[in-house]
Amino acid sequence: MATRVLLHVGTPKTGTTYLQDVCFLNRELLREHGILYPAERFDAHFLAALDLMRLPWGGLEEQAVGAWDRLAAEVRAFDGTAIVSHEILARATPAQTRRALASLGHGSGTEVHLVVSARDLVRQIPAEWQENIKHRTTTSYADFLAELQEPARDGTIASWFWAVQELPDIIARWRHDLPAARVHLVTVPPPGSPRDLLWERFVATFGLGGVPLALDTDRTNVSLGVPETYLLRQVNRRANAEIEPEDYRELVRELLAHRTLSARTDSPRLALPPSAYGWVSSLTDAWVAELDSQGYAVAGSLAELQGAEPTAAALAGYADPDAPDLSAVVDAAATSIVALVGNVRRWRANEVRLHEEIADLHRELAKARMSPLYRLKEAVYRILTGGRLGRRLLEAYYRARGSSSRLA
Amino acid sequence: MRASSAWLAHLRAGGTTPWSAYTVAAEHVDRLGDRADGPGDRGEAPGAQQLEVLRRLNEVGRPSAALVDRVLRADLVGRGRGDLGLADDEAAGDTRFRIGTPPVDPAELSSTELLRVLTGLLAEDVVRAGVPPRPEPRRPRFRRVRYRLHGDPWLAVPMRAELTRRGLPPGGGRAVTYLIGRDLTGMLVDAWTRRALVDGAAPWEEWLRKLRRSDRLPPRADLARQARWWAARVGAENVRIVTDPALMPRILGIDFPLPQPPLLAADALDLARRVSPLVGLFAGPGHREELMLHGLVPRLAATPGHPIGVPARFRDWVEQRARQVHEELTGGDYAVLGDPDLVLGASVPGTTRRGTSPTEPAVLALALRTLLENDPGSRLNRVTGMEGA
Repeated sequence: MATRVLLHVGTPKTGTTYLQDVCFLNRELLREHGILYPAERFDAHFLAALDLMRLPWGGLEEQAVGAWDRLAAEVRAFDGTAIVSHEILARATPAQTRRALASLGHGSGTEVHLVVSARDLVRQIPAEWQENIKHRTTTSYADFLAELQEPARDGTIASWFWAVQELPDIIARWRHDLPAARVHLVTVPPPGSPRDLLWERFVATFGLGGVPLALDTDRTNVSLGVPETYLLRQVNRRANAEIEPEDYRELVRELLAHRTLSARTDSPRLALPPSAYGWVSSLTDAWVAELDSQGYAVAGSLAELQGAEPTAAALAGYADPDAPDLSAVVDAAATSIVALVGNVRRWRANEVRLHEEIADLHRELAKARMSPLYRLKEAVYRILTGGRLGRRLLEAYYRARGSSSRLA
Repeated sequence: MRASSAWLAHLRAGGTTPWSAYTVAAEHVDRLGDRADGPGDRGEAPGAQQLEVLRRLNEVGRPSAALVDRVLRADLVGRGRGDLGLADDEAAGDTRFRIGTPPVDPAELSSTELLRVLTGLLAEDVVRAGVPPRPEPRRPRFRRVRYRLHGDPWLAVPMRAELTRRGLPPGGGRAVTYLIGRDLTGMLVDAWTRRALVDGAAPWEEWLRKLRRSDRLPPRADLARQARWWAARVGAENVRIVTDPALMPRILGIDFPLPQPPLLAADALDLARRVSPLVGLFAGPGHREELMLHGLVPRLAATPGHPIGVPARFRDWVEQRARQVHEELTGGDYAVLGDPDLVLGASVPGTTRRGTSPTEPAVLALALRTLLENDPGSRLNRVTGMEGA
């Protein structure tokens, strides 16, 4: 039975991918230090979360069957501290969270700690819209913001956004009877903070200080600028009906967005529109007051959840992602075309090579068919199938071969 | 006063009063007590979605105690809002600062929201029921028929399975490739049907809209494209287009009938579409197709209702594409067995398919009835007065 479980349930866009990747790549080292990160594949905790929440995910869910129970069993069997982390756990219902806590040993002697990493809505809202665009959405930024402000939250975007971002609600769904001291909030430092500050907070919260972790990973979330996001939305509008999900993942999200457009770091960044600051500010005030009243353990500061006050220059220079500078969009499109042409060129070279290999194989096959043994077999078959007796002999041969196969 | 705990007790006892009309004396609420187990703990009180599903089940039948428990504990599957509170729940305490999604009047929940409760339960039923045993296939006959059978998979796959079961597996040297099809409207329905059951599909009309916008046929419904593909591999002289599935036994020279796929009601099919990904989620890889096609479909075939059909606004596009397929097939080097005009379907007099599109309220009504029918301890009211019955 694990003595301690650190259960990290979100939120998205708060450095979770980096944390999970470091834990996964260092899992053997962690185990040597008495810390279990139970994962055979990098997305093991994602699959476990899908299984716990019975969440279909474009066919991936079929690989998730039983994943939570397997993960929980591994945690229970480990003598030490275990880390479980995935940001989509943030949307679990109270019944699911109760099941999850019990399966990890809560109530049976294991000290379960709930960890929630959080970033201000000023940055979360544009980041979440961009994430939607990278997942084929065509919704404009204005519509996205309007949907988030609908009180009923019954749209696809709003229901998901608030389920994984509304901090007091996430903790209320997960906490059950956990004491406040076992609920940890890790806040993402404001822009301009030292690069490692968030990681230091994670290290302190997860007790990783004594482990000489290798921190180089290539799985970090990348962000797009305003013209690049606009371009991607236009691609979605035209290509959604044409492109199958696996092609979209590989060609649009990976090749176009992550490897090509994200490299353009000079374009204006997505931001909260000036008109939304008042709404976000009053909402955040209410959240912070609620979180503060509960007395949770905070790595960082609740004040960081308020988000940076926009400067006059920032407000004046706001770039609307629904109406970007079109010359910048054309530039991004040209960059994309060059990247795609480069890729097509590589694939063509590959195709030529494969055709050559196929031609070689055909030649070898033809040579084999010219062999005397092959021609003898062919002649015997022709003779046998030409007469009744021959066919019976062949039938007996096939039967015998079939029996042998069965015996084998 | 209006209190969720009292309404829950009312529903457990088979009550059907909507939340907005339900009131009870305050002392009665006190007797029921609070199910939550501590400050800050939401307990496991069911959400508005589960409660409303139970109320609707009570309207159409008498769910067993076991089914009532399953419904109240059911997960909300798929994306969407979490468990919702009840609006004006006077026993819910301080409402000045509410976190989470605002509470609702459950009567106003959409069919989609209620189906999130029901489809999960129905998927569990599909997995639990499994697949009836089927006879072992016979050993391949020596005097075999050399064929490959492709085209419309909704037609071809069961035919291939039956031929294999009778000792006539596809393949063999110099096999002729038969591409079986029918009118394009039917092939579109078939392509979506198989996709909805086995792979997961967008709603019927949304799927059609995307096809029309990109002006392309799905590969499974595009006989001309399949013919080109096979001709490039085995030669056009070895490809036959079969436009009438009923001709297949005569073409293959066999003396037993080949199965025709069941005609499923539009609402039943849409319910299956919603259940299918969850069956994959609960049963694991490799089981979904078997459970859906051989477990659920035979049971759904008994559901009354009109089959799915192409709505009028898509017919021009379908007819235009059908003419293209017809031209390509008759202008190609392939032998066409059966009347080539059959691919034109509705544009040939007397061949119009009667069909409809699924509607959410009817799918919801069917889901409620099916859940009651699946549970041996529950019973369905004799006269439900619901759509599609």
